[in-house]
Amino acid sequence: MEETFPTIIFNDEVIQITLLSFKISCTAVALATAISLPLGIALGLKDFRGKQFVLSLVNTLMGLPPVVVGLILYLLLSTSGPFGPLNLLYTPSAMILAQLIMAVPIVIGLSYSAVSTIPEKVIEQTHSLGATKYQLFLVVLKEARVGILASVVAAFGSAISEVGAIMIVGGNIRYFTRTLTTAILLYTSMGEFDIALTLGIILLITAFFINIFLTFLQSKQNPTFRRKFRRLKFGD
Amino acid sequence: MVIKMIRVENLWKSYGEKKVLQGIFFEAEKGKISCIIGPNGSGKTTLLKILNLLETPDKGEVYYNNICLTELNDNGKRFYIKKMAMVFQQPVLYNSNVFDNVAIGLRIRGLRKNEVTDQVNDILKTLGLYEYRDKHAYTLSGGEAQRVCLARALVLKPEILLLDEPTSNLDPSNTQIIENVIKEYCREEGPIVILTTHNMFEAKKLAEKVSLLYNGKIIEEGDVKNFFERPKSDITLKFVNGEIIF
Repeated sequence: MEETFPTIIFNDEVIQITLLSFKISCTAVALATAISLPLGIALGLKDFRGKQFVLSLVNTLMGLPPVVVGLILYLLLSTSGPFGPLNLLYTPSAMILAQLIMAVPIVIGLSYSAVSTIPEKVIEQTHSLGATKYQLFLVVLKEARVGILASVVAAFGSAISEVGAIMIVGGNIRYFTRTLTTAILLYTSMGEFDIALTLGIILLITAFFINIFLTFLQSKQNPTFRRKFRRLKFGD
Repeated sequence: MVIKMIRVENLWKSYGEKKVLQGIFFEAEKGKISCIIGPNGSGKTTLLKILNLLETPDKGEVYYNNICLTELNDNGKRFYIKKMAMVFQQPVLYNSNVFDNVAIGLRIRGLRKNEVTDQVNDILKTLGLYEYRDKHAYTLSGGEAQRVCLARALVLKPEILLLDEPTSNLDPSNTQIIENVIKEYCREEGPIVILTTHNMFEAKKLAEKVSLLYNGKIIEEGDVKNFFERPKSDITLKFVNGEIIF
């Protein structure tokens, strides 16, 4: 293998794999956010019987083993399964579904934590201003924005680096369902470490930029953090 | 002419075993500052929260202009909540700048952007906060933060202004600013103002009517002069003489 790093990175297949990975993870996280954010916020604001049980369930699902998700989804989507007629197995849609299932508890759990940190007085003050439930939702969203963004970013980080479930339901088909992680697995097993490493570096760079973005958001929206961040930056 | 007033009748409220309010009868008239005075834990904050419809009493009613507010549904309550504004004892700030902190109530009421800007700028100038308008609220001092909370309430031009010990723990300069603005607002707009405090000097300075709340009961009430100079109850006398430590 005489290919150098720049040659590999601009290789059509690598570009296609990278773009597909982002497309699948972005779609899964966007859907997960739309489903989970209202649930996480409601969980943070409402007290109800069985709340502790729901929280325990969410926390357990946050650590859901990807291969188990993949296996269950495989059984559901396979020809003999209840959703077999949808013909989703070995398609990007099945991979989105797998990542969605794993992202939902992450967004619920972390957005719940973010909402729980809002002082009770802020909620009371908002009621006292005559806010409707929807207006209260928007205020909470704004107050907990850093934590909520962190939950979305964490879900994306988890989705883009996931391999077990998407391997099972996607099948790692070249130019169709092959993503960064499944390709790394394949090229490693084939002994093509230079391509595997290049794809790994792309994943690492992605993780690095996600963290930079998150740190930037935190510094932008929290004045105390911003001051500390500036001091850290300029070393005074 | 019917005088606008808020009235509570036979109000009871408990938290678990603790009886916080025990059969309160109280009324406050438009254009007057009514002061509820009493030690910490006497039930002042709970009474204000019930008046603001944030808490539901176990028993008893709240009337505003003879409309029973406690019997209304959520939408009805929200309609009347929007006629009120409350300033809490501890400043409550949103994670945004001073302008947004003051503007939130107007935005909830659906005012247009230019109306919000004009009204917020005016009230910030009144409270000496205009130069802080773009400053993050979390960077303010305690006094500035409480002025922001008062601005948030006054910009709504409420018919009922509820003030829960707004100057406790503030320095004399900020206390002076807040007291002057409250008096000025009352003179110009003539709302119902209900102020709770455990500070006798503040009550004497601001209020026209004073009620002593002690252990969840109104012990005595009357105009400010009679209350402090000719108290009828022994508890009031002890309070006025400073024998009840708060």
